[in-house]
Amino acid sequence: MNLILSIAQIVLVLILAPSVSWWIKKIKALSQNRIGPTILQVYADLGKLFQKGMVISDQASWIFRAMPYILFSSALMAASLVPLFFKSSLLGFSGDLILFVYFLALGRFFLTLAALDTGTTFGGMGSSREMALSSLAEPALLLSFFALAYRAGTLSIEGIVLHFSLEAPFPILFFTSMAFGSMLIVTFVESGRIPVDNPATHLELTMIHEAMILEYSGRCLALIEWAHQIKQFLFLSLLVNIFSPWGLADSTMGIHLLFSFLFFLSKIFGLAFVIGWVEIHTAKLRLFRVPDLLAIAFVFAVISLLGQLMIGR
Amino acid sequence: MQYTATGYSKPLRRIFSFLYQPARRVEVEDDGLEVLRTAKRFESKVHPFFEETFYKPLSRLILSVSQKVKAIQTGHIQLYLSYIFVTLVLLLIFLRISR
Repeated sequence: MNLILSIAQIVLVLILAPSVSWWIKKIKALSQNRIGPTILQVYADLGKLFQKGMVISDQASWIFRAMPYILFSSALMAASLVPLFFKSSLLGFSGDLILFVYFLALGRFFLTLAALDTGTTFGGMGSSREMALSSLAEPALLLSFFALAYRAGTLSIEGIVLHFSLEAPFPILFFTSMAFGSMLIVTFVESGRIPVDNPATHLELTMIHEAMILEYSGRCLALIEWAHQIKQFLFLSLLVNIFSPWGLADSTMGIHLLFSFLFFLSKIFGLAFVIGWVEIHTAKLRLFRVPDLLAIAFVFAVISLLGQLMIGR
Repeated sequence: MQYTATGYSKPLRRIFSFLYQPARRVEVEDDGLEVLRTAKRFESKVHPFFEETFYKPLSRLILSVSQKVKAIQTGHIQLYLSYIFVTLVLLLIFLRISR
């Protein structure tokens, strides 16, 4: 039963990940007095891309061809480490936070390589920016992870989620809110949202993610987009499950599962609303202002870890 | 046109400019006419921060220590054997005292 539920969670990630992107698009559209797309539109877009033919440069090497599959499978492997609405995850017994970060880093490594592969200047631009920003985002993410792991006494994501669902929130409020702030900023960077990157256009010279995948089309593009949506979904579910883990199911009774699933959905879409709200109300930062934002995230993570060490376990 | 390694690392050099202090200089020569350039020179360098503040002092320290150690390193094997013997005797005395 545990195994079935764990597999169901991964299928759920695959299905639900595009809908979060739709939700953010919808919020943005409503704020601009547009009706916005229906929820089926994101799935139709993916389906359309899967059916289209691909144009691949004859200068491209195997890295260019293999990258979408590596990116997608690394995102899927990362997904199998994160518990969503049920207390355990598929590979949770063998992997922890560090493996989660490195799965994402593996995908990113190949993404930046493939962007350089065809030798276009635009791909190189996106690639070099992505590397510069992610080398700043990763320490902040890992430090806030370590602060949480120190409190929980374990590095496994399941263990951390379980620990915070049992511990009273108030005595650790200061320290968790610092870690939350840090991880929220990193989420903006990792999912390419507006203070850092603009996911809506190919036409901006300061963009990062879209610049790297400009050469892709058809099935490969669909896989990359999907992997990106999965990554965004994973960061959101990590945030809601670590910082508000209440309502997580630990029994396999049908009614408990249904309740925790609905609870999880409302938390995810609530947090996605916050992301959309930020996207509506802020302008994109200049590229060389983004390190300042990441420095704030880093400082938050350090304060969280230090506060944690001072309070003691 | 491909990205070079220098171009690729430009954002990092700019972000950590307080460490690396990147400097660039472009010189243009012409024969009185600005549109007809005769020569161009481009120079770009970074301050080798870690080499100056970490590796160089470290290597200087190691070199000065080894200069002093050289006094007892003569090349006679009998001397080395006596070093081992003296060390052994000192260790045995130390063991006796600490008991």
